[in-house]
Amino acid sequence: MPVRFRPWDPSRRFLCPLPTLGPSRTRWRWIALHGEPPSWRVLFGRALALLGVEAAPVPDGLAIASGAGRIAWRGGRRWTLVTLELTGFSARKRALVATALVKVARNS
Amino acid sequence: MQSVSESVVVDKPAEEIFPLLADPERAVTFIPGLNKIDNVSGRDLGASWDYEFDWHGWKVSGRSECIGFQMPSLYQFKTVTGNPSTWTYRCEGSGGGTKLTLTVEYEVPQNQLARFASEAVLKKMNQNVARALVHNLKALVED
Repeated sequence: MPVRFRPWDPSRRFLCPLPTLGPSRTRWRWIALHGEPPSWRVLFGRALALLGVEAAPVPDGLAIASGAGRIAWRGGRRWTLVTLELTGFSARKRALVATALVKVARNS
Repeated sequence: MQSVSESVVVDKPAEEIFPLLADPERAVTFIPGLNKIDNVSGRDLGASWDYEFDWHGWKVSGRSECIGFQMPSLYQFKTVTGNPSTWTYRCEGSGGGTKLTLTVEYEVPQNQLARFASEAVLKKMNQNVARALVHNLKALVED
């Protein structure tokens, strides 16, 4: 079983999480650095499908589960600012959704 | 072989839980530290896939294979490279819902014990992961 220590992996995108305020975690933001921008709509749509969460395209992102939240992105050729807002679901499920979207942003 | 086991009662029928267990790609949504699943080959019994865990820069990778598939009550797979381990999910009716149990049997090679300080620490870590895992599944399915 390969066990490697690799604190930085060149095959993954670098993500810089941005601070959010408030006692209850309902908003996540991060900046992704990349070469050519990936198809965020496809990546996030697939991740939400794996979670069993509905997603509908909106002009700047995806609406999540009929009003439970939304994920939006904007940026340039080498960077993208992603903002995720979740007001529906339990706190645990919100965290799982956010983690899954961060994973796909970093690894896919 | 060491083993850890955790159970949780989910307020949904087993038929709604099993699809989440039986699709290897969906595991990244509820298994703490599981970074990615790649190269999925086949479906149901005999399906195999590559996995990668990531704990703060430590990458652990390998390949797994499904060795037990009885919809909607049993899903079982084993790691086929590296440290032997067997993961067994059982879904049993419980008061209108489903009792979901995860049992993980694993070996700890002696040459890796130094990394994890002690066998007891590793068991505690695995117990915590199993507990988080079943509660994550409960949250995904119920909510």
